[in-house]
Amino acid sequence: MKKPGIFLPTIVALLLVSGCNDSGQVKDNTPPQALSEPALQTPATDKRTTSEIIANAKTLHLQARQLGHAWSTTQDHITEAEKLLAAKDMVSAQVSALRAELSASASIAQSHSEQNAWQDRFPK
Amino acid sequence: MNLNNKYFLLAFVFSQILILQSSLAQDALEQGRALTFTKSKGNCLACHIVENGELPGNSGPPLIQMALRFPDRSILRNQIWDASVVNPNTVMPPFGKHNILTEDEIELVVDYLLSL
Amino acid sequence: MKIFPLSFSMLILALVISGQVYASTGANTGANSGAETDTGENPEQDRQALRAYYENLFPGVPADAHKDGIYAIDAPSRAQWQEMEEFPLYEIAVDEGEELFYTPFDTGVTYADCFENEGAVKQLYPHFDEHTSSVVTLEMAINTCRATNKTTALEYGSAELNNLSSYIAFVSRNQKVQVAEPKTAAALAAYKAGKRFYSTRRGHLNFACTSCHIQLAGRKLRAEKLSASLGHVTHFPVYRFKWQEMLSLHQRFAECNSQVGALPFDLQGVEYRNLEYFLSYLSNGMQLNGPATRK
Repeated sequence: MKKPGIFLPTIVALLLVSGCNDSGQVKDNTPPQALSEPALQTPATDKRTTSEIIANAKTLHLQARQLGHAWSTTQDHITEAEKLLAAKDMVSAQVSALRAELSASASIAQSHSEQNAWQDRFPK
Repeated sequence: MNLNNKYFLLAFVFSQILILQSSLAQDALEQGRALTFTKSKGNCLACHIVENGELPGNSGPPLIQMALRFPDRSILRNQIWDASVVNPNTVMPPFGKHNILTEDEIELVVDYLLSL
Repeated sequence: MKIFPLSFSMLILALVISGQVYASTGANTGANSGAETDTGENPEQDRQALRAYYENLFPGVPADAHKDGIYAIDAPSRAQWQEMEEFPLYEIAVDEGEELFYTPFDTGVTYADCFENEGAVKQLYPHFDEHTSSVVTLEMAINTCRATNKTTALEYGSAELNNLSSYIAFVSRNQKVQVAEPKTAAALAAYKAGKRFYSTRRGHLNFACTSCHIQLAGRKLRAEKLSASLGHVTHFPVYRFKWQEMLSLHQRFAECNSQVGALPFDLQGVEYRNLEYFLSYLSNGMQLNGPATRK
């Protein structure tokens, strides 16, 4: 007598919960927001303030520019970091600042690795 | 009766864990798919044919049979991170080295590609 | 979930396409394995090598046919393009350019006095000027004409300047690109700077101009086929469908740089002028056919 009394609600609950789990997650085309950690550094281990990181990113970006290798993405990350800092969103601001720094460094590295590499790309 | 109740409870909890796990995995695959298709992120379709992807380019090889072609997951991950290590003449953007995708995003893309 | 017939047909497709990849990689390495004479540039050798490269890559398409850009190698969009050319959208720009061309400055002089042959002079640009040791473009010459007539310079990329150069391009049709071969050290240095710019990877996407227009020419990015370098300079300015306005060659350079994530350079700055010089030399002998319509 009691058996079906437990069995039925269990099945119903199971179906309900599994239904809930599946709904509302399939159609989202936008990339996840929580995944914007920079590639090489952990924000927690960086002792500098976000303003210091932004300043350094700007210096590196200017260097890249003088080398003719500046990236628009570096500029975008700097702008974003400054905006977030002004809005007192400290964690996201630091992430953006670190990404700006990373982009700027990579753009300078690109100018070095391209120093001679360009010579092999034209038909001879 | 009591014993039966316990079994039901146990079965219930266990099935919920399974459902949750598979839905999390499904969710991660969906995130990977979104990164693969989104223009400002992976934009893999620009060069590669991907299942269900509209108007793909043909500048790179089609992304099919990936688990078969990349039994070693790390080789696929490294290819996305910086393909020029293996082939200096590649035109594939170095998604990791140039900070186009984050490490987490690359892992999601790898998981998705291996499901193809 | 896996549908076997689908994945099987995808595999066949993969084999066919990768076959093409290997074929074209072979052509690439073949073209690149020539003699190493890198200290001294040899522009004429570059031009011949590039023409041979494309004739090998696109059998049946003569090198000079690339004056039509992508439409030389993309039959479906060529038909569309020819329809657009029947009622050319650049006509307004040409008409407005013509009016400007014959409107006198305060000095009483018109552009027609600066540019002989009623403006059919596009084939003379760009050229290397030994006195200033720099590349002179048509746009610069237009502003020089204004300066000698005590008129302020036009902004590069402005509608007025693009209209004027559209008119000059129009009346210069059927002339052939004839950039003098760089011989002096300074001219060769400008040519080499242009070649270096063209071959250098930029932006976070890490593309050089050569990545798309030499290495991947004829292949597709999304739905868009990639055109050959040859003929890139013959048809500018273009009416850009996407932007609904006339676009100069340098504006297109800037757009290309932006598309790979690089900060663009100044219009008519030394980088883009050297690049124009290099590309124009490579298109020597090809017919001028600007202005044109582009998607």
